[in-house]
Amino acid sequence: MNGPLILRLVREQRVRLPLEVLLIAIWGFLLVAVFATSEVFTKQLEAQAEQFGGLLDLVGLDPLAQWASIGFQHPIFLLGGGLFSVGLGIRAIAGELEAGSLALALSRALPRRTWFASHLLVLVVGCLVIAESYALGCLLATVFTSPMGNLEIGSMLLAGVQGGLLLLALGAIGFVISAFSSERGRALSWSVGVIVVLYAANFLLPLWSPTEQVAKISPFAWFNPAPLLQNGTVAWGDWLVLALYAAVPLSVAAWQFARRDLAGG
Amino acid sequence: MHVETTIDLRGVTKRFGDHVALEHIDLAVHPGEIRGFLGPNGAGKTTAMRILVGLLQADSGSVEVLGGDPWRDHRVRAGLGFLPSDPGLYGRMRGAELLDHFAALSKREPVLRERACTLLRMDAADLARPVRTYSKGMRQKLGVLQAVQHDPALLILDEPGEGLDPLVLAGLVELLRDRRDAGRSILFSSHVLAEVAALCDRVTMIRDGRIVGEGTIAELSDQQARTVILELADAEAPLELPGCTLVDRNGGRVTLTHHGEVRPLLTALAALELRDVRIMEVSLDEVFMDFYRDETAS
Repeated sequence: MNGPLILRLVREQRVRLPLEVLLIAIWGFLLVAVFATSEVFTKQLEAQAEQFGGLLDLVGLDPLAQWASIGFQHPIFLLGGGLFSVGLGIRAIAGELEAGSLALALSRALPRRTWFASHLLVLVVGCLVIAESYALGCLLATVFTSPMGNLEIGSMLLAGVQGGLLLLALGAIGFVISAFSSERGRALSWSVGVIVVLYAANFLLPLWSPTEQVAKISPFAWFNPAPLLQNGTVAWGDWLVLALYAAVPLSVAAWQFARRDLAGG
Repeated sequence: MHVETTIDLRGVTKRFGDHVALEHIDLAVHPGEIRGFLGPNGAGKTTAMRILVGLLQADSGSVEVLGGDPWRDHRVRAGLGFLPSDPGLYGRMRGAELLDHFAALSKREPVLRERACTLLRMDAADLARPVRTYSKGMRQKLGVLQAVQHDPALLILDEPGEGLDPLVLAGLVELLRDRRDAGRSILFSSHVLAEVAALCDRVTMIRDGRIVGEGTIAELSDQQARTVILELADAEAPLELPGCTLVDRNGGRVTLTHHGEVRPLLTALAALELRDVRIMEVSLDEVFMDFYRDETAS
């Protein structure tokens, strides 16, 4: 890690990251507030409560928890978090190489692994902060709008960590493509393309039984915080797969960055 | 750490796919030397410089900079100052912040910043502005400052004079001479040949990835053909001069080219009955053009 480098990265994010955090927090707040104030939901919940009595809670089908988990998987959350994580990954290598700033930094006594590790630290922290801001937005809304249902603080924060892991996996895609590229635009196009395909695969492939299992190539298939939010069940297998989704591309990116020529810029 | 040579490249080759960017390059630069690195666009100067600062890995040959390999050992790079041809400076930072940042990355105090700022005519007000508001010349000055400020043992500058006005250019020349006198080495490329002639102890010329000439400017000039124009008193007089080749003879007016030592030529000319003699001095421009015009010239 390199202090001055981390400081610069943080300063670069001083406007964008707080803005993204705020937007994601507002997204979480609004989602729960809409749930709490919408008559449609209230009537539905009352009808379900009448029909199933206390069974909803028992089987872990709290609609508020389900609703909050949808917000985690919603394109607004993914776009907000992805802007940061993929953007940072692309800028870290291809962007700085194209701009010519990478040559200035790495012609100094700064090892490439330190450059990489410093960016990685900022990426991990940023992903966590963004994902937790959604959880905090939701929790704040429960205080102010008192919706029907229950959101456990611990479960929400843990789901935030898992959401951060998903954002990290998306950032890792940006990183690995960036490590093989010398142009920011090309790296961005490829990263967005790959992520959109993986996102679509998660929804489209399960629709046809022969490709149903193939959908699991998508990291999005391994991110479902609903059971955690509804009844506190932690799907450690999913966590592990998501962690691998982040770790493998990041390792490849680190290996490639350490050995590649930096001819651009 | 004392080293005999600050740069020692031996048989360095670098390919990008099928394209051979450098082929068996040898280059040695010593402490207290300013070396000009000349060549047309695409000749391999930037590739060589990037190998020297550890951004590119040579395919073969040995690379030694300040006693170590800049690709494998990042500590070697602590003694370097590098200005690429188009330095990427963070536009949102203020000039002073940017210099502080690069000094911190170098882990060395910016002991020369004040002096360099004075010579390059960069004042505190300039440094307080965001870099994105800088003109091209100002950005270039900031690029030079970030390379020089920590007093590196070896400065590698890719066209440092580009975009600088004559006053600042004079300051840059003084700054580089200063550094040379302090025992630092400087390798720099430039297309401004007057700047090279004024500054360099030695010049290395590169074309198509190969070194095609190396020496002091006087030595390189000696390798080139001088044009000699004579007006003979006797239009029919036989003429045989050492090192000369006849280009044209129109009665008493003779045009020759001359290679090699000039003293024997002058002795021979003294023995002739001449109305006029002109020996055209070879400028660095002509040396440069001769080296690059075609294969045979080298």
